[in-house]
Amino acid sequence: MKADTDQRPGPTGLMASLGKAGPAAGASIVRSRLFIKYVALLVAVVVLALLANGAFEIWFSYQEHKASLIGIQREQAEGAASKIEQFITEINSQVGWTTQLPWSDSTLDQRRFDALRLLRQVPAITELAQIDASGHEQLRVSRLTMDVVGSGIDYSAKPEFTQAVAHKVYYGPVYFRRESEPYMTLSLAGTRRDTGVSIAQVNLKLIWDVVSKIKVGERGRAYVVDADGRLIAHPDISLVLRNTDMSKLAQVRSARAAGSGEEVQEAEDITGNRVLTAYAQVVPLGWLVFVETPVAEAYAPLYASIQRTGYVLLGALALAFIAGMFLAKRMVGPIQALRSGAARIGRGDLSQRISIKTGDEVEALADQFNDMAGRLEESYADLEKKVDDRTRELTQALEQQTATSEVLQVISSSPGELGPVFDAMLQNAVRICEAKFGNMWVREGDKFRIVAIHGAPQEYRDAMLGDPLVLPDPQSTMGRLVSTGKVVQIDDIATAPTHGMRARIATIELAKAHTLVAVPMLKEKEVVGIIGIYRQEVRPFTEKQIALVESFAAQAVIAIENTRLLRELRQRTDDLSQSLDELRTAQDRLVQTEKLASLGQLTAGIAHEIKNPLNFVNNFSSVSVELLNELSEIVGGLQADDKAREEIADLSDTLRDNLQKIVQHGKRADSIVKNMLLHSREGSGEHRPVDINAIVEESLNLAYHGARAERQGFNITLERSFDPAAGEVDLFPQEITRVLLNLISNGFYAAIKRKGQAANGDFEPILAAATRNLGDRVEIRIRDNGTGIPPEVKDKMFNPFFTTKPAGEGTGLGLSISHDIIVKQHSGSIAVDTEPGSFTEFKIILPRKAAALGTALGKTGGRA
Amino acid sequence: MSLLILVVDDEADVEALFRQQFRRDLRAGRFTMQFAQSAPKALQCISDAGDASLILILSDINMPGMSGLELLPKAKALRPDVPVIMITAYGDAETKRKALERGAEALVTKPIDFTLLRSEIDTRIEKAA
Repeated sequence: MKADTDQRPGPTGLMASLGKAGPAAGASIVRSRLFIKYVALLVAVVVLALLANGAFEIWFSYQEHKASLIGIQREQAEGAASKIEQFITEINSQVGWTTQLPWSDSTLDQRRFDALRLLRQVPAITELAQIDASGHEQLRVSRLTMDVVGSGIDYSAKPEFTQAVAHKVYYGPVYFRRESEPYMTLSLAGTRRDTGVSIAQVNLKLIWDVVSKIKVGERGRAYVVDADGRLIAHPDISLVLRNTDMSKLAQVRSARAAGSGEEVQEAEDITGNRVLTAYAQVVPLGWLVFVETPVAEAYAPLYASIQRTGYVLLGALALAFIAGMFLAKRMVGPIQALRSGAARIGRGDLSQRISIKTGDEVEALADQFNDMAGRLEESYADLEKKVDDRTRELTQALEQQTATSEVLQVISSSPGELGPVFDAMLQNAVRICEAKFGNMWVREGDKFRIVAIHGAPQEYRDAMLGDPLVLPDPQSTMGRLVSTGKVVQIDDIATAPTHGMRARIATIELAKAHTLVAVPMLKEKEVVGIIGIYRQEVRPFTEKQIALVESFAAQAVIAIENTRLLRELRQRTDDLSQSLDELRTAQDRLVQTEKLASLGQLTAGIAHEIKNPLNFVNNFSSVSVELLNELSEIVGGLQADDKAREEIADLSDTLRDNLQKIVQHGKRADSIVKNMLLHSREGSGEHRPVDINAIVEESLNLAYHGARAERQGFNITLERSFDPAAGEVDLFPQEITRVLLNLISNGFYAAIKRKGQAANGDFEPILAAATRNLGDRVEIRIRDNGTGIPPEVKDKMFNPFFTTKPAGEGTGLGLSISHDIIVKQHSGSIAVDTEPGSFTEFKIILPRKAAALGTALGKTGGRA
Repeated sequence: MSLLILVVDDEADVEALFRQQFRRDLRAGRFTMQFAQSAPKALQCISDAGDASLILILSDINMPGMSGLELLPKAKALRPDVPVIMITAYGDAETKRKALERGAEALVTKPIDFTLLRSEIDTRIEKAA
């Protein structure tokens, strides 16, 4: 497994682009941090170890080096010091010899001899002066000058003498001869008081030699300072000759105050360079020998060592880095593999296994992860199976729900229609039951009618729908189902007895059915129908499927019931709306009647007003005829010529004719006015016993005259067949007259219309009126041989305002008012028998006590 | 002393018509006719007529002011012995009932049947004679 598997941009990038960058980027950072952490840790450990080691090494080597250098320097210093000391001691002892002898003249030569021997033996001594006890020079032997004896130079006040006497020995300050050689005065007093003092001038060149011989490293050097800190010897003579004061240097100061503080090991030399320094004391002289090495030189090996250590450190760092990388990779790799594996498992990729062969805890952890993934996979698989099962169940349930809702939708979308509902139910039931076909039966009395078939072969459909009613045999499936009200399932009906049932035989033979389930449609434990579902193979239906069919059966029952209720509701609604229509019509008619009534009153008034002048016209005309006759008689008795008589007779005849025409037309006008008055129903609306034949005759005449008055050239044959036994009926004569007038006028209209339509003019329009005694009732028939009434008109003809006449020729109120008058006012009946193009016959039947039985027509009736 | 027949009608032409219709009788002097164009005038005529001569009153019903039916009882009050025949355009039962109730002899509908009227008058004349 490669640790960088998860660094590819794929899902992480996708996730980042989806705005979930936080955790993913975080993980990456964490990963790199871990890696860096490991590398850094490893490098740090190595570097720290190396650094500590190097530092210790350097520190200690520095210390050791320094110590050894200082040790060497001190040794050399001490060596030099001891040499100087030895040199001085040697000189001391040699000079000491010269002070052995007490001062006397006898000894002078001896002394001289001794002095010369001393000079010879000790080349460093260039001059020896011997001072007697009183402080006067007695002898001076020198290599440079002539010996002087007894010069008597007084030294008694000089430090050479005084100090020597006081301290036995005196070391004078260093001085230079010829500006190049250092010298020192050395005085030595004899052991006895009288031996005087020997003063030797000592050439210190030897010390220089000693000092200049001391070599420490390349640039290390030694020098000597006297007790005052003045430089006595130095490889650089010029410094000595300049009488340099070294006392200001820290090391010199420290050395002079030796024991007062710690030893200064590192300081600056006279030129300001840092030096390592060590010193030794030349005890008798109080001089100090310093050996110094420049720090740069002294530490050069140290620096080299540090440099080496640095190189090693760098190398080690690189090595540590590489190793760290490697190790970190080795360590982080498995961890990342583990992590990515865990992430895959977390993402649900449970089939993946983490392959880590490190043989350590990581591998164990990976194995545990793998185990976990395995178990998860198992449980997932289990879960998936459960989910699958559940999904299947839910799908089934959904399918059933969908089917149910589809059926319900069909029910709701086609209210009152059962066909589509049954079809939808069967279709869904067959589909969900995985069946081949199904049928549906609805009970009609004892029989069952097949109302829906779905999925069955055409022959089966034809056979069943051709004769849809079946009387179930009590032994048959259907019979058992009807008697028990329980679901019947037959695994294979092909092998079950048919009981001679036609439906069963058709099912087996035509539809090739095997497994059947028949579910009753139950309405309060009564089987009102059956749903049959069939398979063409032997495979029993499951309980769920049967339950579904049962639910459909229940819905079917509800649908049937709903349809019934809906039908009733519609019927009632229709009734109500009809009542409403009637009410409206009555209201409209009331309005119309009001109008007509006022019109009638107006007509009556006008008619009356016309009638008076008309009477005068008629009366005066008839009187004029009489007068004309009298005139003729008178003229006849007069003498006149024939011609004049003839002319008078001719004129009076014409006048008479005219007057008679006036009378005739006046009467006609009078008749019309009378009709108008009648028609406007002016007058009382009381009921009374009326002779039926008389009223019919009167109506016929009125109508006839009315029609004639209305239309020029009107003619029709009136046939009367009155039953002499028709007798009287208690009725409202005006109203009945009105009805009869209306019917007769309509008859005239239809008959004349037919005549107008007849191709040749030989059609004879006939209107027949008949009466008949029916005991306690009377029948009146008005029949015309007119155009007849089409069926669609017949249904509506008694509706108010329904008219077939052209606009302006009828109000459409006639028949409806007639209907009301006959049926409501007189409790009679009015019926029509007609054949379009042939005849129309109205038949009115009135009870004898018609008016007493009838209901008042309100205002209309009251006025009638 | 001639016999008098009073005709009450608001139509002026009624006089002409009656006089023409009964011209022979009038010419022959069988009776005289007097015409009143309103009910009050009729009542005046009745009271002016004296006792014997008025034998018949013919009255229209529909008149402006006092109607014939109103006139009827008053006329009867003045001359209970004189028969009154009402003439009307409305021959309906109600009018007839009212007229008979108030003492009318008969109700004649317009247009007037003069033959009938003549015989009626003849009856009165004979009675008076």
